[in-house]
Amino acid sequence: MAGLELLSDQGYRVDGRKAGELRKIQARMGVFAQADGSAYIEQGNTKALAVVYGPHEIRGSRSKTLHDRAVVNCQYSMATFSTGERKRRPHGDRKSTEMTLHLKQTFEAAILTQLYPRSQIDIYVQILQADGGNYCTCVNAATLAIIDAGIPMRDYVCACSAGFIEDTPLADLSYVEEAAGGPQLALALLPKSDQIALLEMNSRLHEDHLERVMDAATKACKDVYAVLDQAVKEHLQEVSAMLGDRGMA
Amino acid sequence: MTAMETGMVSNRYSVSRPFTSGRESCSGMASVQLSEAEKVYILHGIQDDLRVDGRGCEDYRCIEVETDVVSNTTGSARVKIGHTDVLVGVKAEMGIPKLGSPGEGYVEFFVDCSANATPEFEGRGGEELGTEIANVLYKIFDNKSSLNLKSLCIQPREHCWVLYIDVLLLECGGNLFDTISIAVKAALFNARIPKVRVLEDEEGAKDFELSDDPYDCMRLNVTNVPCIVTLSRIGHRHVVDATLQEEACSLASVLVSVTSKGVLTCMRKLGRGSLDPESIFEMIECRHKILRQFLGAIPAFWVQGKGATRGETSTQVPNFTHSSLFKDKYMHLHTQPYSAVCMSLSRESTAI
Repeated sequence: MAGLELLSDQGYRVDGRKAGELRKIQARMGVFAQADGSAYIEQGNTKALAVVYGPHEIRGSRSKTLHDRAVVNCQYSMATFSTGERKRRPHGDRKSTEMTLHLKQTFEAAILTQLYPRSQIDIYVQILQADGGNYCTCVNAATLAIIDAGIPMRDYVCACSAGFIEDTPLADLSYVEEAAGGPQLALALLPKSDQIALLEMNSRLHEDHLERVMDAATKACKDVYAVLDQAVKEHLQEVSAMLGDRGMA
Repeated sequence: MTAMETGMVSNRYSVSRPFTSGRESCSGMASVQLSEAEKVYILHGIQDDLRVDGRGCEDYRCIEVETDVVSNTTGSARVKIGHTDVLVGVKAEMGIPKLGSPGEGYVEFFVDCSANATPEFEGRGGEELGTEIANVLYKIFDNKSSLNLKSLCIQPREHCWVLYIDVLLLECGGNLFDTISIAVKAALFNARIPKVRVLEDEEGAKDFELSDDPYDCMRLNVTNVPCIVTLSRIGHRHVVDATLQEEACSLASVLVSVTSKGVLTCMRKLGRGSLDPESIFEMIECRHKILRQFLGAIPAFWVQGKGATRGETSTQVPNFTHSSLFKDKYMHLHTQPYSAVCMSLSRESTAI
């Protein structure tokens, strides 16, 4: 890691954060009227948009139908202008397909799919600007969109990444920190029950350090939960205030 | 958890969703299914110059333009007309000039109809429509006056700027073409292309030096970049800025691309119905009227004039609105009252 000091002697990261600090999260629910649920989230400079349609009838081939639960259908795509260098295709490449599968796995673990047999729930996420932690931002956006759609879940799904640089676990990696090539861990957590919906680690990390990195990621996920929960509550307040006079009548 | 702040912003919550009960895919466009009674209702309204949302036949909905929304692009803009929502990012990359025009740069269009807009676009479902829109964009830019491509040339035959104009469709609520053309124009207006210095050493090897200073940049003259006006024929009249419901009632429409001076750069008939020549001329003629109300309001903010030239000397770049996505700081362009819009726009562009 020549040239760039990712963690200063004083314990500050490139963007001025402390090791366990998250980037600023801004979220908004119900951004589109046509979809059943939608949400927009910014984590630092990473911006994601999630849209949920459903539960509805199975579209396309009937063979996908599951008789005991709903099918969760995901699509992860990145805007062609979202990355530093322009992307050729928004989705369909190997990385996006992998992300799609990860999202599907994550949300099958969280949504109460058994309540909707023979139906389908579509989750579409779009990265508008990529600056590290794309997967995690997408999960958080999708969680808000599912809540906006009113689809019952076991718990919020909160995701956050963590890395390990200079013997210190770092939470919520930015693009610069990801690009440095150190170990990277992505964790999607159901915070109330401490259940893990998805766990992925890239690169090499000594077993002895794993627990510390996991702990840092878990802590970060719980911090994300606090922010998302606040966003949902504020949204609810706003919506109920708007519907207030209707509710009275 | 120290740096965690949530910025929640007030929100539009739509309670009523008229007619969006069923969806069908028709000629690759996102569309709605209407019953006969609903169609008759819309048709009769239009005959009396009163549309479902209270507009007249030649009125646009409120147009919201936001620029500089994606910070890692050369220029970006988000435009929202009713429920139609479009995000455009322009990226300038260095490339080699085309053989046919060695002294010019070029533009590339790509339209991504994302599944966000409608589930029909999932996978490859949006490709057909995306290609169709991209082709229209190529056509309206296929003339010498739209953009000064010579300004994109760095070294004839060797290096030029390629502008990748990527359109991302976020929501479809009718009148896609007009919305996209406005967003493209706004994104080009917002584009800041870094200045390049060519350094040549003794052996003739060339080296490029890109300016680091964000204010030391080239801006594009978008005065002659055309906007698309789509005129939909419904019954015996035509409407501009049709909603999805109105598009479902219209058998055919005419798409014209016009510059702010009223010059026609491209024209196309869309839709499965047929039109008689008389009505086509009548529809094209009405562009002047629309231009007066719609484009007529805009030059104040499209014309680079004052801001840009002054910006170069005082190292300030004009920027008429700077805000983050999905927040409430929009620039509202309303077709009425026009004079008021003109005033607010010129104030915005000269304020900096």
